[in-house]
Amino acid sequence: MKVLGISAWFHDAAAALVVDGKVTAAAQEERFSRVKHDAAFPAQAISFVLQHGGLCIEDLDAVVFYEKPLRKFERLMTTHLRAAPRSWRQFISAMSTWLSSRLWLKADIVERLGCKPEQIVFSEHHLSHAASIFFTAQRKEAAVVCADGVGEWACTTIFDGVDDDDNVDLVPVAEQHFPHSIGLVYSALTAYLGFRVNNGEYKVMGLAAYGEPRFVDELHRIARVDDDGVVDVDLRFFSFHTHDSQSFTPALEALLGPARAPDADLDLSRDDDDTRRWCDVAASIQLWAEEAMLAVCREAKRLTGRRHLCLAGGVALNSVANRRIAEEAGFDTVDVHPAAGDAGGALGAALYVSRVVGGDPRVAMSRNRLGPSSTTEAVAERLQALGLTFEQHEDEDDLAAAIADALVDGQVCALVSGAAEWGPRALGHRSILADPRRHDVRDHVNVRIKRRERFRPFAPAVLVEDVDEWFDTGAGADRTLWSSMQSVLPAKQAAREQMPGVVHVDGTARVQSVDDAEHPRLAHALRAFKARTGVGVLLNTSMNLRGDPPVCSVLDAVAFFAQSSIDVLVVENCIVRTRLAWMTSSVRAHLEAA
Amino acid sequence: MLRRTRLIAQTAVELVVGIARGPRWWLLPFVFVLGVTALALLFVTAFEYAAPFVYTVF
Amino acid sequence: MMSQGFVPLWGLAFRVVVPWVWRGPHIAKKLMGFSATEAGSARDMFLAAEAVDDPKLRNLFLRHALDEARHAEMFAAAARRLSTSARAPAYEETHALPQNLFASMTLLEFLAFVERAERHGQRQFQALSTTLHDPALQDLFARVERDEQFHIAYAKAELERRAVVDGVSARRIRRRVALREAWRTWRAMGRKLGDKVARLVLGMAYVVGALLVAVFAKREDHAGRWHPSMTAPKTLQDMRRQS
Repeated sequence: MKVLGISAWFHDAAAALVVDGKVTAAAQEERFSRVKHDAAFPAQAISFVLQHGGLCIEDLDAVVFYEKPLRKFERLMTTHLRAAPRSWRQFISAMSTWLSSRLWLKADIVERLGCKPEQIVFSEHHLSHAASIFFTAQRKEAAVVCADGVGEWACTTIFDGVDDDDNVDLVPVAEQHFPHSIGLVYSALTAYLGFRVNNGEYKVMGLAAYGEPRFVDELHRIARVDDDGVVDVDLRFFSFHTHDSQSFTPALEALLGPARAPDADLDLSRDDDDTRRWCDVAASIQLWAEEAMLAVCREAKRLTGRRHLCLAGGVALNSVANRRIAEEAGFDTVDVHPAAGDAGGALGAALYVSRVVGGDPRVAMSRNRLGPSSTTEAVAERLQALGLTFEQHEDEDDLAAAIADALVDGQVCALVSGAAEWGPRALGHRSILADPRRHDVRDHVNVRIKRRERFRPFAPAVLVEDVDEWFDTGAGADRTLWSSMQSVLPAKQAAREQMPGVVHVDGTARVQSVDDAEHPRLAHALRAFKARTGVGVLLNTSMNLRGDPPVCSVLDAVAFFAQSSIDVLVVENCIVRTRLAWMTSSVRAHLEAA
Repeated sequence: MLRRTRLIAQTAVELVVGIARGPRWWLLPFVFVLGVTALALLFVTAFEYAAPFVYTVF
Repeated sequence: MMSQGFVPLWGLAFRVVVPWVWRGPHIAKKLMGFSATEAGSARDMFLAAEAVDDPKLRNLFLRHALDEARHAEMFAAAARRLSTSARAPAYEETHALPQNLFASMTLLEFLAFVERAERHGQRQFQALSTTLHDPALQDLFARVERDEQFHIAYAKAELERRAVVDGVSARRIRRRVALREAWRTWRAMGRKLGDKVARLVLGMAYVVGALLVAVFAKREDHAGRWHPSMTAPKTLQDMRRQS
């Protein structure tokens, strides 16, 4: 079957193409539109995946949307009426969108794509998420837990997955309904801490390491978690069901203290009561979420009896919680989809149609590198046309040596290589690389390059054979998570001493294990760096400025080079070290403005 | 335009039938109210080109 | 080019209105609004740079995009200096209409649009830099205005040169773009007004609906628990349902 999967209109619009059981291409719309978390109809992403697959709309057997809009609409009506009269504001804003466009999205898709109405089918939200990880994890059987804000009704769902020679199925077993949502509680506390919802949850995870979880008992009182994973949220403290822009009530502030003003400065060196309290709230909500997810995963184990666990939904992006789940939930392995949020739903919906409905066979595939790429010839041509001076290295060893030399010299490199990553993590294809041994590297990259908060940690890219040398891997149930930075590992003493730039204040690191097959150029650069320094580890972070999505095209990379104080830009086998005169003044002005 | 109208009508029928057959059948009067509202809004939107004058009339 | 100033009546109106609008906490909010608008323009120019075939225009569009991105940062930084709680509006609040203008116009129309939009911005920033009494803000607007002058210059030059090559009238294209923008503004006003009417109507629907059926919704047991899941679909026919 040839199936196009689409997610749109809520968060993270994306498109994915699955042909005969294999994902041929997938991309988020934000990479093309340059609007972070762009939820608009993914016209450009669709165009890319179809072009990449050499298909047009008429060739498709199905176009699958990742959720059931009418079921979602029913939930909206019910919950607004339930909360009446307090929900009037949210009702008006939701209904004006739904009645004017979202209810009629089938007609919209037909109009925009030019497809036949009978080509369009609808998956279910959590089923799409679950399929995205189960059918790419390549397990014969697994329990699948999906946890996010909310889909149609479900906030948390347990599935039983089977994918062997006789039977392919993904059966939903049990679910919890809105408003009892781990994701929404975490998001409400994200907003309480002054960060943007659906964007700032990572920051809460990073901030948590600076605090003590002294409010966790209070959080359990207002969002109870039972031993069987049932979550019961006390709606006196939350308002995500009645307000669009305010997800917590004054009662929460009475309990935890005043909220942090949105986007206010957060200087952790300022040891005042409020800053300490916010760090402690972050630590508390992080611990609450870990305990909630652990309880749910244990229940999944009990209900399904499976040895393997797959995690999906936005909550699965919490890499600290994933580590605990791997260690304590009782499964042999844990897998997480690289795009565990709504973008992954596009891919999962297409895979479900292909594998379960269409009976397509299981095919080995990469799930990390599915986006656009450029040939070396096209890159050189583009750089030349822009007037940039660059070196071109035909030999990969020479290229790796040049990158390693720059890094050893203390320079920060931006690397564009091959197909863009699928999901939010940079895995060496649209990455910023730096020497993790520098004591000032975190401040330098946070402040002067990415222009974001100082407390944000960075992650290490480590050669797969070296992971055990620097980090405590434990039983390794989360081994598959390391390749896509979905778990954290405690750093050994040597790592803490020699690589302060990539070890967080709590002594952990969100490791990426790098192998030659998946990330050849990054692996090559790591080996060259190791040959010079004895350390096969690099600081690896996504190539984007604050507020922007990661770069995608050659032009995006040049624009990033022009706006940041990156020292070296590497695009495929071309190295750019010198900016044009007007770019230099642009960088200076940006730094002054920051 | 005709195809779009037909698809919208089909969706509306599916919504009503789905609710009527489900446990929350009591939503039907509310769906009816919203349906009338949606028609009113569609009518108003169709006159977007006459823009402010039309809304002043309303 | 408007380097000598602008129409006296517009200038007078500006000098009356600006000190009234640009005061107190509104300044930070206005600056954040400018920041969001510049960021949106930057995106449009990046998309244009990506899509255009001509290398010279690609360079110009890229440089223009980077200028706009820099302006966005400068405005945001100025806003935060005035008020630490100043927050950028969400993208949707300043870009209610679909963007990617380059894809919706011919190249000449796009150049005319850029020239027109930059000229409007340049007028505005020039007026603000001469009307406001804050030296830091005056300097900010003066710097941005200088960049806008460059944008006007290249857009004008490229439009006129290419119009000659294509054998069309640059003036006619400018007029077409001006009319289209006027129509777009008219519709945007209509939408804003229509949105208010829609909200009123929906508010009434809410009251009626709530009176009719809210009691049923409130009587449902919605305590947290595990619910048995519905069967997942197995055929394309099953999946055609939207509910």
